[in-house]
Amino acid sequence: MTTTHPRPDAGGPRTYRRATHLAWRRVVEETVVLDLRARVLFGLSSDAAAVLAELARPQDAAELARRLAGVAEVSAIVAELAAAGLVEVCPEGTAPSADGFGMAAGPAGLAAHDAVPVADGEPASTLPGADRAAPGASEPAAAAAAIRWREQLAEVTHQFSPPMAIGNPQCLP
Amino acid sequence: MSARAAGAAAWSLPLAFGGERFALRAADPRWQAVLAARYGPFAVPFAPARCRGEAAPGSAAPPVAVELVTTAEAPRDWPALERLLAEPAPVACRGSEVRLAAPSYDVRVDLGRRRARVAGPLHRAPLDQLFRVALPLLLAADGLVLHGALLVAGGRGWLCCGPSGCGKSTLASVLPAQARCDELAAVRRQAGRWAAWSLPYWHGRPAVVELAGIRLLRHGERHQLRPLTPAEALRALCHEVQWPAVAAATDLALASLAALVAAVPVAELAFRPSADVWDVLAADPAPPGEAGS
Repeated sequence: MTTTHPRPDAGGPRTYRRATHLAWRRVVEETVVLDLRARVLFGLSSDAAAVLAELARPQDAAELARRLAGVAEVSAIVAELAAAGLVEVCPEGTAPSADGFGMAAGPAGLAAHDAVPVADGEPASTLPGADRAAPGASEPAAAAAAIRWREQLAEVTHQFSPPMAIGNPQCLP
Repeated sequence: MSARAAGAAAWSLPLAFGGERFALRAADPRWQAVLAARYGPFAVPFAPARCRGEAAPGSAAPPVAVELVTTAEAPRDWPALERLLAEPAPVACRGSEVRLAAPSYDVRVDLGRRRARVAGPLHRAPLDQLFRVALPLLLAADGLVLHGALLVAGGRGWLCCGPSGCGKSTLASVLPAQARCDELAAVRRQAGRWAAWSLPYWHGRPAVVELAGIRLLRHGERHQLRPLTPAEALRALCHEVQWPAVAAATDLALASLAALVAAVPVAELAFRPSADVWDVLAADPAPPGEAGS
């Protein structure tokens, strides 16, 4: 899965899409987004969650704002999500595609997907032009609210203690 | 370094845990002694009568065939073993095959064909890695692997989660009658209910029980249970999931986690290491927002 991005001098409105390596889920009022490539967990505002949901289908900022008429500061939210690597700028000519989150149940459905640790492209925040979409001075409040919290997932480590060193009576002979 | 390939298997071991079955075989019979302590308790003959309680419902899937190939002798001392256990094993995916290529071992899993090959030194570490990668993928559609100690009583189980140092092994050591494992456990949704399985890590003994509650552990001056809302629980438990190594399976696993926290009470448990923690651990916590101890 390689993501390409427009050159800084590319003309026309940029088209955005939700990054395809994410998992996300809404539980009551909270929307949690998991980026296992960066090992970061995000909590999104409801407006940001609506933007992320809408960007299952690539679209430009104007179309997005039309479709999310009830959401204020859509462009600022998109910029913040892009800076966090949750939204990508589509390569030019990309056709809108179906939601890339789903996976057929069962191991057979794994075939077409990448292993998580494989890096395959720059995060959106390092791309040419990503910073140009950064929130302007007039929009700090909305931008700050898009991502409510973020937490780094610890690298998984397993116990390395020698056998029987834990002293758990259940394992004694 | 010549490998002892498994042509005609001289040794085999059928295993069952997490609602899945694994058929280990090797040409080198010394694997029996190497794996007996950790995996021996989970050996289950694959006769239908013995498997009925262990297999996932509706799962007619054959066992995952695991071929063990000896490429070197076991580490001879603790520093060498520690190096082996700490070896990075980057995960790569090609087609339906997942591969872990560590400096001293190579693990390949083809979940579509339900077979795996472990080539490495005569030690359980590469096989441990196989299961840590394969189980979250095998369970992704309806379950999860979580870092936690499973404690059971009366057919019900409490999964006590947290990172290294939070007290999983301590809790297991003060409650040996209830403890079934103290590092990793599996949970699966079965007909609308959640079941928990002990896994062989560490010191595991087989158990499959109805999951009554999840506890997020931390050391404290006194025993105290604080219920979490589903949203709080989801956020906290994301840190305790052994996430599938394949990105597309992550969404399924996150969906399973969201369903889990909606169905099973989750509470933070502060405890000091004494056996009377059981009374608090196994208590039904008041709903979040009500009395919280």
